[in-house]
Amino acid sequence: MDRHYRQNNVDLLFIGMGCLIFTLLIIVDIFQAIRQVSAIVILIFPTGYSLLACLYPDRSSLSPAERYFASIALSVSMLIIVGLLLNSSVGLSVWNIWIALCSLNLMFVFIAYVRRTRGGSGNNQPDFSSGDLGKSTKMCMQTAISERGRLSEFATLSLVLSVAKEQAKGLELLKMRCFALLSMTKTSLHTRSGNSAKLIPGIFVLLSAVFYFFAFIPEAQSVSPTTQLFLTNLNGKNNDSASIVSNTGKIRLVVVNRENQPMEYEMVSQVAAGANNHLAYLELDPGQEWSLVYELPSLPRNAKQRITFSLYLKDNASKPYRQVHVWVNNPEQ
Amino acid sequence: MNLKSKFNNLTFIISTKIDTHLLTFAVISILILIPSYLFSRLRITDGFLFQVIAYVQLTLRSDHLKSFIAGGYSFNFVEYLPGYPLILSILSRLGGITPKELQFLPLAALFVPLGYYTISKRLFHSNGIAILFALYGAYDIGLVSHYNVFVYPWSNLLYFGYLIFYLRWIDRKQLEDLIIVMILFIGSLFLHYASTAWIIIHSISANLVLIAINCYSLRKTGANYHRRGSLALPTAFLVAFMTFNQMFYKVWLPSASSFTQKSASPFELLNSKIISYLYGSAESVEPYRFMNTWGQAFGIWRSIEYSFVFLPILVWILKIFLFALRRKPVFKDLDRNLLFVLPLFITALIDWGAYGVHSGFNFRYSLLVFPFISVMALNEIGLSRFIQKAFLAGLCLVTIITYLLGLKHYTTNPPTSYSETMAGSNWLLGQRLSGPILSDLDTLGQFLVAASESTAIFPRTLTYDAITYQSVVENTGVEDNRSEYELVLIDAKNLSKPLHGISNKYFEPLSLHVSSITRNDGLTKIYDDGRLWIFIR
Repeated sequence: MDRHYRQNNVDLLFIGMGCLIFTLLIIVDIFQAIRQVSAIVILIFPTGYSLLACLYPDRSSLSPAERYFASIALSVSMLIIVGLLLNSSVGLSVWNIWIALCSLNLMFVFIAYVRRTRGGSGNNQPDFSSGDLGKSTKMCMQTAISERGRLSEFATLSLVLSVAKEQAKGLELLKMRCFALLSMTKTSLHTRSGNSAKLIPGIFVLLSAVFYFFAFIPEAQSVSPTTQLFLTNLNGKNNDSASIVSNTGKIRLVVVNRENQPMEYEMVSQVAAGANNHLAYLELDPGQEWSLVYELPSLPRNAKQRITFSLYLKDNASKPYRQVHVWVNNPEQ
Repeated sequence: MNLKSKFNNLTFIISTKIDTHLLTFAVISILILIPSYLFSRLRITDGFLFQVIAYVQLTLRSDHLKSFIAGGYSFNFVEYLPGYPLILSILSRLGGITPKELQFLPLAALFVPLGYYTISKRLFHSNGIAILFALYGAYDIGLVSHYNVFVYPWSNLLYFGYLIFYLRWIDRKQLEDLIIVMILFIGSLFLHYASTAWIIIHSISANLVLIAINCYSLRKTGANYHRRGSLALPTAFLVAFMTFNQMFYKVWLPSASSFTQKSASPFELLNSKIISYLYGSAESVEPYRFMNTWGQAFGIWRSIEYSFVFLPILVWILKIFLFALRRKPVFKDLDRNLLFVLPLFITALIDWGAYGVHSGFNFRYSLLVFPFISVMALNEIGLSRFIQKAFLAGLCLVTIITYLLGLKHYTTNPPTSYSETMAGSNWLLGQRLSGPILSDLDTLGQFLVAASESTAIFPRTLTYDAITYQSVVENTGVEDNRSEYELVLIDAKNLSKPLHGISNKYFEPLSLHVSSITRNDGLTKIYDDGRLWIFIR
């Protein structure tokens, strides 16, 4: 019996295919959420994973948690290196990024595949690529029965059985598939902590993806409803700060209703701590602007006083809704 | 065993023995993701992120990112950390996420806890301890900006990656590990100066320790120690850092050289911070400086958290001294302690010193890595695995309480949203004012991001320091280079929040000084929309 065991490469298959599928989802852009998740996955995982597979063909040399974490860290590192190279050459268009990352990924996947298949790491994994379905299946069943199997082996078995549909006999095939699926479920529910520990990072990543959908809710783009009260010079612009109070001793007072509903206001002015002087009652429709040229009062020489303009809501006269003020330093001087 | 019996066996397992481990891990994973979920929903972000977001937004129209000056505003941070806006830009371009929304993406919810889990699993070979570490990483409120796409989680990710492969290198020296370390270093070099400096200092100190041990061993026994140190790689790292990153020359050195002119020493600042944490307030070391931004209850629990992390280490150091005096063997695991813990310690000391001369002691690095040392210290002291777990559970509990108190602070003072500042920002840009704008980091950032949507020309901006803050609330009339501003932006919605100023300094909330600002005859209030007040000088 041929006992030539090699690592199965289903993870590389997933990474290679996944990279292409996810980038396709980004480019096709059917649903925004799918595009976002695809972009995040593409940028922070596969490059590092395939690079690790290149450097450590023997999967047992890194724990699952180490492999997942290092994949993210290396992906980010590679993204920076690739991004800087693109930025200094062809630019950062979506196509350039896509081509660069996919090429890099597929290259790493290819090298990892070659190293795994040629390296003959000597662990107890059946060779599914040998074409000998009977032997592979038997070994896989033995693995499952001895409860040492892993999800990937059974997934590969299922894949091999699908491909070999023509060669296998109907009922036997169904039984084998059922067996493979049941074994997968059983393995995933296995009670030994060793197997569970291998699934922890996977669970964490899965929950993170679900969590992302609930946590990340974009804010509405529109401007929040508000009322603007401002002072400008007579030209309507404050492009020179020294000229708000113009030589004529006048300023422009402006109210803009951006509340998305008709509003009623009262505008008053107050010189220093004196009494309020009523200036106007305003009824403004949404988006409507009101302005008033205000002549600043004459002050004694060398006097400096604050003139406050307060905008009250019609139904709330106790507290100013908006307030601005200007300091007047005897404009006649 | 036929298929039927296998199926029966399976149904038995499902009905009676649903894997408790998996359920536990699923629950813990959800617990780990909760803090990030809440932060993201509350739209909490770090003030330093705004300018990067504005930059990314501006450069989306171009295929190339470069440092530039838009109007009076200089995006010079691209020279120091080119990799960071690059990552955000690529994420934004590929994902179709607007940069404005990208900053709340809870991406790093994954990085920090997974990093803690992985390193602690390798260090302590215990799932329980690793999970508790992951919980600590998720709830540490000091990492408030670590849930999203801020630069710290990315740089911590690379640093944790370095630590993992460094630990592997301690266990078995392999070329593959070295290649990974080099790739991580190159990524870090272009991403953030802090993690790069940590990697360099850690690798230099580890190799110096090895060289010293080797010399000692040769003198004592005439034989080499079983490991040899070499400064080749750390020197290569150092040369690369000095060549590619200008932060050291352009920012740190000028700041450190003016150390003696600073108003307070790092020790005075630390003392003031501790007092304000414990008593709610402290005599300010600088006018209007605010030390405890989150209240007394938070300060007390934060102090307990610090004590939890530092106490076992202090006891361990004491034990080392006592054992050394009695000439007893000091360490249980000599390699781990000398090659991992001691370099971490040296890195922390240098990190304190580097930040100390710049803007006061910073404990970000210590809180990031010292929990590992604390548990190792408990192990070295001789306490059982159960006590180590109990210690970590206690630390997690304190961290969760601190987190909840911090969250209360955010829920009572929710951040102002872009849609709220948009009207004021658009008005201000429409006025075509060219003068420098003074404000706190958060308000200025909001303005920059809002402005980056409609224009590429920004006025120059300044963040508060003691002099400018004083000139706003008192009209001191002081004129120097730093206080030459023409406009003051005030977030009217968040008047009760301390203001984030220059060099991570916080200043008193403006709600304490509203009347004096109104009386300040050097400032004319020209705009009010309920969210933003704009004053002109």
